[in-house]
Amino acid sequence: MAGMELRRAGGMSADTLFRRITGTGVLILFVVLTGLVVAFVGYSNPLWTIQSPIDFLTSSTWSTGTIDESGQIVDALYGASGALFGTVATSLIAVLFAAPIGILAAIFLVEFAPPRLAAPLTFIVELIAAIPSVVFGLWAAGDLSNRLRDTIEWWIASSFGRFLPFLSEDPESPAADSVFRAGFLLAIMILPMVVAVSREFIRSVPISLREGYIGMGATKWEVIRDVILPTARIGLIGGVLLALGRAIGETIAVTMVIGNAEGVPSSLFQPGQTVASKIASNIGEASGEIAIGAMAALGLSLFLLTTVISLVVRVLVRRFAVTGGRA
Amino acid sequence: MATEKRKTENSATGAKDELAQAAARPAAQAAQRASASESDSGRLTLDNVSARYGAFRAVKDVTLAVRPKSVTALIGPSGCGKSTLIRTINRMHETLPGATVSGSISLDGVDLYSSDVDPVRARRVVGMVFQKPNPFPTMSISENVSSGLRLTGGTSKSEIAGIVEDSLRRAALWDEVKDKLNQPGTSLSGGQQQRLCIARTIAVKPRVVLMDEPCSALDPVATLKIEELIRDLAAEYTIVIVTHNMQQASRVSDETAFFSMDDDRAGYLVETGPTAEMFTNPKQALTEGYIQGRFG
Repeated sequence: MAGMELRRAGGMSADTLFRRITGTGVLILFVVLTGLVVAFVGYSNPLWTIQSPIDFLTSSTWSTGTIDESGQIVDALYGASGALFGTVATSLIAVLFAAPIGILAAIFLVEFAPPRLAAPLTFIVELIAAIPSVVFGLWAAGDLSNRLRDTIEWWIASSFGRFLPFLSEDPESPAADSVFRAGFLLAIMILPMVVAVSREFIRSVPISLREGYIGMGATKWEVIRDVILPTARIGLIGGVLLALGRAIGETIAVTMVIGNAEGVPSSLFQPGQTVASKIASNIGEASGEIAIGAMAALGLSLFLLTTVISLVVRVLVRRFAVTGGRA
Repeated sequence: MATEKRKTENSATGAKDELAQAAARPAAQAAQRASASESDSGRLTLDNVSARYGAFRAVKDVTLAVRPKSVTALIGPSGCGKSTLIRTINRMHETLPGATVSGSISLDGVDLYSSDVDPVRARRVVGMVFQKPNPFPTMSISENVSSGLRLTGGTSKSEIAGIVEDSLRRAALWDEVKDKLNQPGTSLSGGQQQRLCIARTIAVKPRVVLMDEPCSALDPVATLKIEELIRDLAAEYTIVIVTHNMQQASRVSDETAFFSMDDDRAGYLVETGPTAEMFTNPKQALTEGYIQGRFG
């Protein structure tokens, strides 16, 4: 028999209690995720009774069909390739602009900005990140979209449009909305995220490595090129992919500027739609289990796309942790 | 000097003459005459050197002559400015925000702080080994050793391979790594990493090698290997080593400089002399007290 001071206290220990409380939080998360997937698979099921997932992914026709004499819906076809194209195009355009600008800005903040300047600049970046997307959407719909059309979009169209049809634009009557402008707006919206994540990873490169290379007779630029960027590169890629995930899912601002046109546009400077904007603009009229099923299928495809990106980020970050930056 | 393109050099040993080239400018011609008489033996002269972090003076008025091709140990209690001082010699101190240096440090007659000396080039002539082994994690063992050569440019691939092997041999690491030159430098043990950093430093043939407590992160066996290496390297390089370990100072150094801290926490040089003398018969009571372990 153990002495009093060594004996176990009766009942549940504080550790056990705490473990169960925290474990409940995780369990709830798991239930939410499972519930979401099960619900979406269930909702989308009726759609697969009239068409195949292949049609959904490859057709650019989105038609709710007509009702014949017997009250049946005929000729319905839900093809999402236009929306999928729009999602991929806008988010790639966003990353194309936001990744280099964001990483360069992060390099400036960490390596060049004096502390007195870096702190307020970092605060401004956080401020931009906190602006609700509907505000960005309003800005774009109000003024920014036209400015982009007259400047960068027109410059690209007049430089490359002649031999690259998907970059062409009619100089007499440019479209009121375009896929490109939605992508560029997304670039502005994800920029703070790219800067914030890149900044953390650039800052995490140990000073001993920087000094080691400076001690070898490297200039600041050479330190950035040969030590900081290679050491931080997995983190930088991870940050860009996280931002890509945000761009893929962004809905309201895109819906306000992309034009919500069906099908695959002939040029990036034509209106289009993304998966998210299609759901937002079509959900109001969707009635009947097949139309709802088509909405659910759109949601599932978006969910799958972002899941794949999150998984890639996880794998990359894990490799980064194991090898200390060496891929 | 700073505007000169590195491409204009065409040999690895060119780095060695860079300071002399800098001195060839009219402003430094007097210095060059001095350097011509002393050759490039690696003679360091510190004259009234003070180092500050903003307003705080960490090192006060150090005047010290370092004998070429010998090992000089800087010893003294924590916070007495030894590491700060050694970082002024390769102009590393000034890379920290607000850090400044006054006084003069000359290498073979050329003032390293002269306005026409490019600090980036000065660091190729005055190499540095750090407290914690810091191989570049994204570079292989061989790339780590050749990193300085690639920065300088103008060395052909076959020459680089030869210099990599030679440097690794001199750093007593070749036999341990010759079969895995393409593996990351970080895959080595701590002691091997530190020898890799030494190989990387001597690959560019500097005149001076600074070592800032190079063994403080290593076990006794690895420490002993590095100490043997330091003795070997002293035949070719002027070595200045900061150490907390007085046995290490007595084992590796020819000359010892003892530092202490005054009431303002500014480090100053108490005395300097041949190591054997400093450890058996120091002139200053303060030195004797420290060496006998009465403080520090």
